[in-house]
Amino acid sequence: MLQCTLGECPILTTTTDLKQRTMSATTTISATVPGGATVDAVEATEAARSPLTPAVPRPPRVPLHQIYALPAPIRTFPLPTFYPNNPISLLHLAYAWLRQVVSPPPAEPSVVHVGVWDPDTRSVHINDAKSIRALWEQGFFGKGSLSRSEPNWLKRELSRRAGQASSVSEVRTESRREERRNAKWERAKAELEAIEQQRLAEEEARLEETRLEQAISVEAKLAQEQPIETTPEEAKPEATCCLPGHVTPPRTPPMGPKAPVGPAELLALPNSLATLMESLAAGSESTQGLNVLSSDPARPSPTLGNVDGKLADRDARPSSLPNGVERSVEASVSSRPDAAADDQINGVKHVVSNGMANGVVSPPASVASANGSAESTSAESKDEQPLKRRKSVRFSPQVESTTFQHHDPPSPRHPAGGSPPRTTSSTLALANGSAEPVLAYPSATTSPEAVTELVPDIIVPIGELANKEHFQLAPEEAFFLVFALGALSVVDPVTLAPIPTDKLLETLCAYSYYPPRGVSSPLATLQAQDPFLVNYAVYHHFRSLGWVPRPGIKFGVDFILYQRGPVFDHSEFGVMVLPSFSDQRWQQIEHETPKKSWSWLMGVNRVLSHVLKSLVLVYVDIPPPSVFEEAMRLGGIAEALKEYTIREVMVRRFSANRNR
Amino acid sequence: MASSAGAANRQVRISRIGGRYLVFDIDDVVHIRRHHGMCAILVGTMPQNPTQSIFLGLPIELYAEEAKLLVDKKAAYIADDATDHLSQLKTMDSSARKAYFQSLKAQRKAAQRIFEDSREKARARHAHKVLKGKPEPAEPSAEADDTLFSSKPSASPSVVLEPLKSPAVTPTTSNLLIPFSPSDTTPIQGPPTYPLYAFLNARGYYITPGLRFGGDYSVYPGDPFRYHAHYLANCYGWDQKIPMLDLTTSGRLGTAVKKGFLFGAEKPVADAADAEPDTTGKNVRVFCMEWAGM
Repeated sequence: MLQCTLGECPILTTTTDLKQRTMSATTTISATVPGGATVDAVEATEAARSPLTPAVPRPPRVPLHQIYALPAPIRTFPLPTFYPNNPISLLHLAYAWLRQVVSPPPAEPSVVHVGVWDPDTRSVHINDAKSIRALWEQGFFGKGSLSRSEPNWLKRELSRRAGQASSVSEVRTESRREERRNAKWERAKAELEAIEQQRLAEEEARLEETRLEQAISVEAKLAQEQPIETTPEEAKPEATCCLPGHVTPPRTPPMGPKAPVGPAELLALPNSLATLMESLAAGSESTQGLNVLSSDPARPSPTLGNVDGKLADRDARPSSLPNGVERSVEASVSSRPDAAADDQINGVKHVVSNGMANGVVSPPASVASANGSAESTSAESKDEQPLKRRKSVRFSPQVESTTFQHHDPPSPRHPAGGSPPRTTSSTLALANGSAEPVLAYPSATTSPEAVTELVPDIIVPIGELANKEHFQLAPEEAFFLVFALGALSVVDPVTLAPIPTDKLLETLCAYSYYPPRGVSSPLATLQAQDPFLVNYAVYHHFRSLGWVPRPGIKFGVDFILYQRGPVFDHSEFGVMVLPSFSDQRWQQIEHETPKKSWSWLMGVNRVLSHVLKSLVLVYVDIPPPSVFEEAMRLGGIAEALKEYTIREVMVRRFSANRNR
Repeated sequence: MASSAGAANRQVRISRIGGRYLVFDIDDVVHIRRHHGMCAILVGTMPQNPTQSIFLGLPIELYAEEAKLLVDKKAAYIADDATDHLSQLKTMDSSARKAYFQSLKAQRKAAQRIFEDSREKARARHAHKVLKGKPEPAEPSAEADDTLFSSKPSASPSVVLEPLKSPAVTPTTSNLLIPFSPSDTTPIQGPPTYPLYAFLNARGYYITPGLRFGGDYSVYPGDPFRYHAHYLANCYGWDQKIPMLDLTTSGRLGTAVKKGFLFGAEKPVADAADAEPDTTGKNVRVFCMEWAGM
């Protein structure tokens, strides 16, 4: 356990400490970097590898460490080092000193950015492009409102319209995800085929058994009594139904009702959007979009009962092939009573094998059409060698397409004129009346192709493109910039007057509750255990030690910690802030202790270990109100923050098998 | 039909030992798994290996909510085993004692019959072998030489055929000593997540603890032997504030392990005290959430 008091670690009312601690202070660094030319390390390597590098010579790339040289939006001007054995260094020193004396550099922070407090999103908005770049490049503060973190919406949009390949991190992530999705679909498809094969093999074995039994019983029957005379007209159609040229009725493998996991089944669930829309439309004539959705004639109400009924119907229908075999056995028996038993068995086998050959082609199609999906796996399922099976969870037993785009509708597409085998299978299913095309949507409303074709038409000239993105600072970041560095001034959204620091603190504390606490009475409302103050103590602590804390809500923690910044490395730690009322005096005072369960710890730890981060529990010992108020009276928030103690505990999962 | 009716009326004996709810009867275990959708967990170890941690056996331990639900459905009764056992044995009258001995005898007879049958079968097999062995005596002797105990004389068949003593039966359960006796009538204090449990159980879901997914339950659409869990369930209070971080954590984790994140709460009812215990969770509302990653 590591213990460190904010009193021990310096409060940054002046910036000298931070300068000495975190800056590689060698020379004066000008922060004039071409805006928008920021790239990731990954990106640079990828571009070097990719064969699609354009022939046009690009402007030389600025190295990352130059772009992100400053760890905070302030600059330092240290004197050069003096080496006694090198007299020229003395000259250098003297020159630097004289220059600073004659023309002193502007007082730091030389640039004060302006941000607007936005009570609705509880963040500070920054609209000036220069400030945005500066705050992002000097310390990785804030995030773009339309980006993951770095504000690069404009760049993304420009590259998208110019038709360039991946040049922004979001685009690359998207393409990686697409690849992974494709791989998963392929795998699921292969597994489905393996299962289908297994099912077929089992079916065949079962068929063989029943056939033998029937042959035996027939034999016994023949031995007992005279064959019943039947007309050949009666026997003929039944026998021919198993001939290879003829279409067999769809053979359905015995299956229980399917779990509602696929997109189609999910949409068919009783509380789903579709039924909701329907009930809405039924209740009142609502908006146009709703009506279009619900009154689509091509989509009969997909409810659970409907699906169940369909499934039950499919289950109740007897497996057609054994029946056919039976009938053909009877037919052959009756038509050729004098034939020997061996011959009959042979004949039956012939018919069965023909039937099987048909069955092999038709069953996936029939199953697929019964489910309203279109994928036919018949060609692959013909070859008999068993596919390799891997353990995984499948969301849908039907692989409907190997690829899908983001803009695809959640329900499966079912084009009217599909590929030839698919068409035959669907017509077959319709002819049998076994399966209505319940979920077959003729994509009349919005087909994804139409959408993609529409996009190029609305190209706006690049010069006219306005940046629609603004920059958001989290409350802790904003207050750190205002209070600790002084590099930001937050203005009121209505009057546009700068908010003083203590007023800003009250506002932020009030807004750390939901609904926000009243801001009317000053200072009395400020409490030691305000969530904002506790979080800020942690934020300030890690910033002072040179870490880059950023909001970690997407991993279920309060902060994630980067060693240098998001463009350099992945974050290693997720920080959870836990207020701790360990002081004795808290026992007499009513307060709200955080209630965290074991399941919460297991969950958050598992989420973080998925993304290769470690969980750090940061306990903040909160001073009792008397101490806090005294400190606030003496020296304001700078003094009060010294009363908070921070303890860090790192949690790691131990697995006896892996941690050897 | 009669058997199913019997199954429906079956009263499962849940022993409360040290605050845990245990079921010792294998028939009861099968019954609650089949008819009430409760898997519980096997906790019994072998006496020789008390630190065993896998391949556990009887008894099964029920969670408080499972025990409460069974009792509320009037499908089980709680027996406080520590006191119950002693008092039952002390107050046993002669007729009960006689019945118990009778049942022991019946057990032994059944065992004897099975034993006889198996011996008969073995003898038949051997007779066959002996008949086959007679024409060519060289082969069995060669076989005997191969075995470990080849030093034994060739009269081994007669040794096997010698009549053995009938088996001794050691009673492994004292169920027969203890008749139906709902001794412990103190109501079970279910955990706060009980309403959600009852709600899901009434809808045919199988439920196992969901600690490893950071939730209260993992919910299966059928028997866990057949299905993967579909939901990761969490129960909250009706007016409880749900932290945003919990939603992201559970939603994200649930999606990562291909489960939906299901959370629900029970609407408080005014006259909860005197009403019939609710075993279907009719006042529970649930939602399911998925991490979209736009």
